[in-house]
Amino acid sequence: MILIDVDLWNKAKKEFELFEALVDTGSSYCVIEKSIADALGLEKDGILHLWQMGEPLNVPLTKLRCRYGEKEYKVEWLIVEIKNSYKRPILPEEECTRPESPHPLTNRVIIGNTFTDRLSEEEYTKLFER
Amino acid sequence: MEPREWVNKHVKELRNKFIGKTIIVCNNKVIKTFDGPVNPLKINEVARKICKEKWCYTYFPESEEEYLL
Repeated sequence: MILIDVDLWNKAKKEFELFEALVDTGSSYCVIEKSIADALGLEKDGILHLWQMGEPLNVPLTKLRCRYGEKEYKVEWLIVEIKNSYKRPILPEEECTRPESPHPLTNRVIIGNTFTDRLSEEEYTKLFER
Repeated sequence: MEPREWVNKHVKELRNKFIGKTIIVCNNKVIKTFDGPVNPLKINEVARKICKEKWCYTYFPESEEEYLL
């Protein structure tokens, strides 16, 4: 699992905020949780139409200024809503079939190809050097 | 050492010690812990007050592979 730090622009406060980001090479898009996107003052800038599990899935898109290292990028992000009960660990008495841990988007963002494709070859290679 | 680099280097010890907690790291040490996951904007608010140098945060869940695979 590759975790990096990215700064995302808080439109509401006019400053960058630091986020822990999970690099997911299997994700076409970067992903941010809706309540965090709302707090950053992000506006919907289109809809991505997907076909998943035999059903249509329409996901809001936004464009977001992000900083990684010394460089700044403006890339497309998906906004995904996560149920509040998924944002905390499972309770001992709780009966449910979801994973025990909180959803990773509770406290992180996901970095997908919309971001990694913008990196130089050197920066991209450095991401996976550990 | 960059805070993220320090976390990556010590991730096993940190995970054992701070399982279920969110930590803020600055100057090669853990300077603040929270129970459970915390909204990143809240973490930023706290970190700006207590960190003079570059910092980072991370959360150590019991398990998260179920979501990721």
